[in-house]
Amino acid sequence: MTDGHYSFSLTTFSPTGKLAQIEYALNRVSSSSPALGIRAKNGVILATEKKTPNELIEKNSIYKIQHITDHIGMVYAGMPGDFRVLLKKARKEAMIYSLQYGNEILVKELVKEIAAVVQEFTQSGGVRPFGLSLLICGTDIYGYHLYQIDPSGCYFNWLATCIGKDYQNNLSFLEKRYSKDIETEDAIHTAILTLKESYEGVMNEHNIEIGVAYNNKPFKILTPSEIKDYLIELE
Amino acid sequence: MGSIFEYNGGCVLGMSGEGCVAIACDLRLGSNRFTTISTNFTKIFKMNDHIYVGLSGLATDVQTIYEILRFRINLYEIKNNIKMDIECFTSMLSTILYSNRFSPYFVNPIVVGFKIVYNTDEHGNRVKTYVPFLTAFDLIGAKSETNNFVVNGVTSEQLFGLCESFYISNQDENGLFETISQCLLSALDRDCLSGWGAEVLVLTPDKVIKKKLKTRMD
Repeated sequence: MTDGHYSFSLTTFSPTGKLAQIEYALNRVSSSSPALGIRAKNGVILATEKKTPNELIEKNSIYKIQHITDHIGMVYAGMPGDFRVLLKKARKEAMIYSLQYGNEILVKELVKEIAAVVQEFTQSGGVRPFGLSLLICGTDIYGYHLYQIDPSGCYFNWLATCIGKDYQNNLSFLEKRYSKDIETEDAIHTAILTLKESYEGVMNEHNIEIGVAYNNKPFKILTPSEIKDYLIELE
Repeated sequence: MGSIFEYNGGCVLGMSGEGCVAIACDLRLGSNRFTTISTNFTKIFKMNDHIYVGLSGLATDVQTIYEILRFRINLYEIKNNIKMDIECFTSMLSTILYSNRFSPYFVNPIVVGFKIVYNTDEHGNRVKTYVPFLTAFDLIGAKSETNNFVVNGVTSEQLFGLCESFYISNQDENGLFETISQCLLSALDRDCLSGWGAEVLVLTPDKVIKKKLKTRMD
């Protein structure tokens, strides 16, 4: 991780006890495209806005919601470059576990591993913290889970949460509509409505992404035509 | 891999019955093949309530592998907050052995216990069933799961012959105890590097009975 002359940590405490670099990383997250996750009674979903910076970019080449394993998915708000690094690490950790123990890693365990990596980058020489927040959702023998990892390496188990731009507003919106026995279908509708609140422009099936794990089935990223069906239902 | 396994001698044996399993071993510890230095060296180790491991081979590796397995299973159970499943355990043991593919641990393990299977009954309740589970390994981690008996150690050829002849499937605990004891005792009579006492553990989902057998002390 360290190379050359920076053997000291670039993330240092301020007199008030804050880590400025982490605060700035959180600023970076709060200015990025929003993402949200909701844990329903029989499933868990992730949803995100997928705005391409330019009309000329091939839309099919950008995926914000990604699989870590068949049963665990991940989305981010923040820097895409950093996301790819953590995604690769997460996939490898999950496979190492499967190789040794012959079954799927528990969601909590995977989250702990990734959070440990994120924390390392706040306390190592010559590196900067990751400029993103992650939402990880999945199924295991203990049920459905939704976790958030922020740039400091803290992880939180959420029933429903939003990250990225306008997350405070979106979170209050979500709080009003969330209940513990919400069905997965309703959760998807709620997610789309929440994204619509802060969306500038016209939302269609190509500029949002939704991932769903429910009824003990593997984590599935919905196709644009499936998303279109949900959007039509909400008209 | 000839004489390194004969340095300390010893053998282990496992059998399955109806809702029960048994694991047995001799108690001899030899030194430099023909000197007997202990008649109290057990080769059976409890990993958790439903997983027992029998380790035969070089005694130092028996002890080391046991400690490594104990470390790994405790860490797993604490981190994941769950009792380790027997299939998970056999995968883990296989990986541990293969990780030393080119400088192997000179042990031939067997794993004996119950696989816990969850089903839903007619009323929709989740029901646990305990299925007997036996697996044998070679020194570099090749697993072979069977449903009748597993043998390992210097006396394995004699044990194979006796088990093939005497094994009866779906016996109850008492019948299983008799069968496994007779197989072990007869095999020990035919090998000078094993013997000097034997013990048998019969496992059911809710209890374990450990008995020491009276053998010829030679």
